[in-house]
Amino acid sequence: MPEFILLVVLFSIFLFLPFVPSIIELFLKRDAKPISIDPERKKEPDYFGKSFINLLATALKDLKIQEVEKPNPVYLKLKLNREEWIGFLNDEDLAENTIDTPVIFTKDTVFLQNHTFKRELVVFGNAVFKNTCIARSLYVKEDCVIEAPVRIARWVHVEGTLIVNSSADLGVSVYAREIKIRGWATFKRAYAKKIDTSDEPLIDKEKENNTGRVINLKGNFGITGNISIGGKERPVFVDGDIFCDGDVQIEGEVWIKGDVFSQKSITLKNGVVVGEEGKVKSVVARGEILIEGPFRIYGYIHSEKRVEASP
Amino acid sequence: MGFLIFLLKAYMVFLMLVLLLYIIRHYTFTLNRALGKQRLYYQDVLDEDLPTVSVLVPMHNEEKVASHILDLLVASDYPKEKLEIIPINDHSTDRTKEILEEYAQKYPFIRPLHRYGDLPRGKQNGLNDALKIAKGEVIIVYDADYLPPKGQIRTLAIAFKDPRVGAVMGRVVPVNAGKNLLTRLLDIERSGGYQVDQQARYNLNLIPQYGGTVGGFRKSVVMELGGFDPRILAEDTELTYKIYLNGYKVAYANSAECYEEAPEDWNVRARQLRRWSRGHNQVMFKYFIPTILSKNLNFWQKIDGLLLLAIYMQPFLIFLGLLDSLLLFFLGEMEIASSYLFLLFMFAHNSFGNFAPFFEIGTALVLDGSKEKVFLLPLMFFEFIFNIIYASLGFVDAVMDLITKRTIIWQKTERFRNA
Repeated sequence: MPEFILLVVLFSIFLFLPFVPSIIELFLKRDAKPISIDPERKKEPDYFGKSFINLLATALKDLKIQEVEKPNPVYLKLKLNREEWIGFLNDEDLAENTIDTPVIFTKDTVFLQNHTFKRELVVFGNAVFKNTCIARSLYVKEDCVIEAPVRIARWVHVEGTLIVNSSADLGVSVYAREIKIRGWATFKRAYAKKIDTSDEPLIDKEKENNTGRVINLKGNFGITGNISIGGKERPVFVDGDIFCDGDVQIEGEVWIKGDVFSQKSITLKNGVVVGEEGKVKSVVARGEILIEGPFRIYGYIHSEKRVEASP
Repeated sequence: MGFLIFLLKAYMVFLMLVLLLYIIRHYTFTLNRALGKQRLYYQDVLDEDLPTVSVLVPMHNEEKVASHILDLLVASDYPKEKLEIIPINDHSTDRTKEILEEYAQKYPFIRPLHRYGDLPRGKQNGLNDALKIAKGEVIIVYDADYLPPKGQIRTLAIAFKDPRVGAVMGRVVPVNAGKNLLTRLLDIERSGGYQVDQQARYNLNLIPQYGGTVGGFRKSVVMELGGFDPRILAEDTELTYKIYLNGYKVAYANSAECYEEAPEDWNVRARQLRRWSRGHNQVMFKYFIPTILSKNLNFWQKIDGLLLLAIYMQPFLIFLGLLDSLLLFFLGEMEIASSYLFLLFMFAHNSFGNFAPFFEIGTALVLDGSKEKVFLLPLMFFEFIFNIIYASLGFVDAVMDLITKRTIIWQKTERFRNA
């Protein structure tokens, strides 16, 4: 009889055993909340720069500091996401080669020396990079000119125009009023009213239409395979969007007035224009986006892998 | 007697083959989601030329939740000149009508539709009436208990820039996940259903399902296809099949996450599940043959489409299988096949195959970063039994609907939120 009872007890224990972790979790509620959804969530191409500068502005406001002038340099302990030291400089000579804290240059700055900024680099004015620089993120209040190789790990936010005359790895996210790529640039996404390689008009629609050479395509296109649009011999105007499951290759005098979207890669070469003045349109790919100029894009470029752009 | 035993054994073999198909399907989805290429949704397309949108919110006695969803829709970042909100007041007897009128006076883009008198009740009927007055090119639907984030209408509507998209579906997350055992189980079940199942079907170009809320459709397509069938309770599943059979597709937006209120009471959940099963099986009866014959679906879409159609019949088949195994046991006829290989298959199935849905949910929880929730998985066993009972009853209801052609009365899911 005791053996029978022992067997019943053992059986019950083994039957109950798989549920023990569940019951512990049920009572302890270590992970009972739903996954977090931000009610304010929306798509903002300038999210990183804007969030950082808002944090900085709030921290400075809390300290009641309107303007940082002298003595130079000044290091203040501010609360951004956490409390940390932030350097305020107004001369590049005062910056060391490697700086571990976020740094703010309070006026126009020309970077003549080689620097590594392990945290955010902020310039409250114009910025010119004449020597190799590495930074985690870059915020420039006015225009920014890159004359030497620059590598940014995360985001670039330029309130004015960003001109890339050298090679530049601009990190994950780039935002500027205008982006002029005269050298070579790589990034994952970029937003500007105009992103181009040249100020010259690439396509004169009226002139081309008058010659009667233009191929006009109207409507939105959904393509299951690959698509190739060539405007080498005759200009092609597409008045609509292109959504493609395969590779997209567009070359020559081609003007896509809408969005270009691919589940694979996108190549734009030799004179392609996407979007139109005053409107935001997108070039989006799951794979790589390769752009060889001249080109002009009004709005947004996004690749899950990498965008490479050159004139 | 011999023929009966043969039939009973044949059914067991048939059931095992059906379950094997579902197991392969679930493992394929899970492995694809965990290791495969993820298809890109359209949320990264920024475009100022957005379509006009009508947001429809079916409501029946929703005084507890009406103002919550309307406040959130008003706060949406979608351009107001391209947006209209149509709350569909379907025979409400509480303060829903007054609440809607207050909002309509305050916001000109909120235009409630009040349905009373002889108008037949039900979500499908309400949607059909609202479609007649909706001005948007795109229709987005939310149930009244949903809490859409600020940018969600844009995230959903942007998919319609792709001319192949007929409908779009977002992700549902129970806001009251931690309330009790039921809500915790529903939370992890939803996680598996959306994070893995829906996303994998989207990745593999199969048939992601439009779920009737946190989703939308192209108005012109639905109008062209005759709107919603008032006799079918699962208007969402029906629309999914209509869309695919007519050459369009459903896009799944995993990033368009929206809180809902999950049932907190087992009786309420039982009624909801029974209604879903009934509606889904009605769709199965209507679309099984057209899915097989469709020229707009490829081979794998047909397979997935048929398995999806039969998903709420599966619990009934399992229920019959349990009865069948009991009968065979008492008849002393458990030996279905005498091969050792067959026994090996049985062992493999029981030790590995039965865990496919658990594997799917577990993977979803890991992807969501909810690792502690994985410990709740063994308790899914009890929900599995619960689902077998009420989904089977729903199947029987659908069979009765088919036979008797009886009138179908919509039953609203009870809300638990405090006003």
